Amino acid sequence: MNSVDARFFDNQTARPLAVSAYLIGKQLAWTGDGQSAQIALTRVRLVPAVGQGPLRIVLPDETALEIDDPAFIEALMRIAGHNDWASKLEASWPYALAALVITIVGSWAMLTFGVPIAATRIAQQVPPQYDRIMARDGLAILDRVLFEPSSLDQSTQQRLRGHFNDIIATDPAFAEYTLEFRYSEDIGANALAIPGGVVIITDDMVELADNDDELIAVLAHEVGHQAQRHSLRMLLRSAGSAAIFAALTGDLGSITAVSATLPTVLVQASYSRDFEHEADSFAFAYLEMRGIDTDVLSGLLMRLEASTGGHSNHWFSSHPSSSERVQDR
Amino acid sequence: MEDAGNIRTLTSAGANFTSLRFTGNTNEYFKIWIVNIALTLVTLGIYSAWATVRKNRYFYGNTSLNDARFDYHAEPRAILVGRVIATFFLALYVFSEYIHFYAPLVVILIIFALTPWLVVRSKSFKLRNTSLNNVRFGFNPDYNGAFKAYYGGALITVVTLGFGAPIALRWRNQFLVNNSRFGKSAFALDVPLEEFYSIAFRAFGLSILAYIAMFLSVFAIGAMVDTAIADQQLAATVITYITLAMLLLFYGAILVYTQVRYRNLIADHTTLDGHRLRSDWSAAAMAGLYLTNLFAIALTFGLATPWAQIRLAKYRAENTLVAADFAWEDFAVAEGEAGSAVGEALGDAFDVGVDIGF
Repeated sequence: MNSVDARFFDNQTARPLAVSAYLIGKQLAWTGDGQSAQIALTRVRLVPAVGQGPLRIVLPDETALEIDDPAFIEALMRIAGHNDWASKLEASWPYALAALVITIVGSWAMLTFGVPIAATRIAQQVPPQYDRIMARDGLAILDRVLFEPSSLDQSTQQRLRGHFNDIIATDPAFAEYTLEFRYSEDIGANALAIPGGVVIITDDMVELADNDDELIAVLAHEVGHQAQRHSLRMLLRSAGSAAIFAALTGDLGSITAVSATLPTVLVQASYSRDFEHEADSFAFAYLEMRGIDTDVLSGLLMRLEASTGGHSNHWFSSHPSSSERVQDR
Repeated sequence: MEDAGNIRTLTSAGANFTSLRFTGNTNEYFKIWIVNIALTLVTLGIYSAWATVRKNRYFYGNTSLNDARFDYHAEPRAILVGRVIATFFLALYVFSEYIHFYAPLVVILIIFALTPWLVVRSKSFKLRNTSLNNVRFGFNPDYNGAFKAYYGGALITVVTLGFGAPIALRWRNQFLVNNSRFGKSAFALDVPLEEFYSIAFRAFGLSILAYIAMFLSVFAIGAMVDTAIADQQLAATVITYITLAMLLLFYGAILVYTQVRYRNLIADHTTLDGHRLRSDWSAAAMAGLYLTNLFAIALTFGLATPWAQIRLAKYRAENTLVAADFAWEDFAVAEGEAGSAVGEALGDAFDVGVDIGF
């Protein structure tokens, strides 16, 4: 085989020595600039360039040869039996287009199916005690940044607590759930289910309701969120999505930037629609069991919509529209 | 098809400078980029370490100085281990908030306590795995220096209520540059403090001008929006968004200006074994690149990312110059200490400042 120009690096200085390289069977040989040697291809490490570029051949003593000639590189790689599959994938447009399709379909599938399923599975593995550890500070933080004490009178609170206790009495697993009353100017008429089985209902929500049946529906809806551990699953989902984003962009730092911090997760509670539907089904099932007209939930939602002008309410905005809910029935 | 790249030369203060050359092109890199993303996805992130190495090998391998090519040698497995540990720390940071209000602060304190170690290990890893003409760069494991530069710098910044920040910045860069080597040849940074203050004051002045300009223009635009849109609430929302966009624009512009000026300042005062370096980045050109890149990436849902990265690398390389008054045999190989990918990954994840320098 013909010889080609190569650069030899002696691992002493940065000066390249001009040599010619050639193949003798399964041996690589080079001569020139005071160098003359040959070595079996099995004893060298081949480092092909990413994209177009020279082949680097690292010898056992860390000296190295660099060869530019593409035909020579191909022959050498073939003889050495070195299969550079990554370069082959990266060099072809058909593979690139396939990769594009895999990326689009794959990330869509992972975000829509993979992450929610994984979040549910992991949530099942997390013992409820862990939720309670999280709740200890969750409510304290919300009290600091968002809530003021409730001004509802004791008898109203007592009555609603009675309704709440009726709901959680339906399953021994709900025994640790608690109801909290708060006032908030920022979030107005609202109800939240935060980790650790704590359900919060705001004064405005209580005042907005026409009757207790509507409030029972809201409380049952929030207990439904708790029963399905939606807050923990939501947290796991956002962590999973952030991890996928970080893996795709190769930027770990984006996890800290993208992932939601505790107060935002708790308050925005932008539960996905499937969570809302799960909570709704729980509430509807409870209302039916108690013989309460299931239209009460939709009725309250309609009024909530009217009271907020249709925007700027987190609790409401994350819920399926009232008309959609009525259709679901 | 292959981009030959451009070489700039110039003569300044008796030295002949020649620029780095960048030969990467979008056509080639797009395929590398998308294949790496797809492989990362189907391997659930594990391939990301290999992807990083291939990306770096493409960009380094296409950067050259007088026909001498850079190369990147990191072991993907080392990077993977580093990322797993960094991810663990990040998860600890994110989830600790749910355990106790002050728990994330503890994680930050741990990272802060590790900073000197992280900086040295990270810088060692990066430089040790970078070569030019088969000679590795390196970083001296100067933990005392890191301790002084980072904690001393933090202390002086806090004690002087921020007015000492340029002093801290100078310490940090002197530490980073003076411990860097190419083979046995040492880099050295000798830069007067007043140059740092001059940039800081200019940036401060520009910020004030920017705020005045923003204040006035928000008033003007606000008046126009108010008359154009009848709905008061909608008008308020529109004005809020315009203000926010302008704030980001001005803040971004000043950030780019200071970064570019500091970068030029440091490179221009850095020597390698007496051979001078030079950086001719223009803040306006860089801001233009960033802005157009941002729009292109947003409008193509990310598909323009390879194009954006290539043109940025090209501009950076072609405006980084070296006084070409050396012979390659002047640079001898050194026995290098190993760095740590854990240090690098953790430093990246928590944005520990190691990247200013050269």
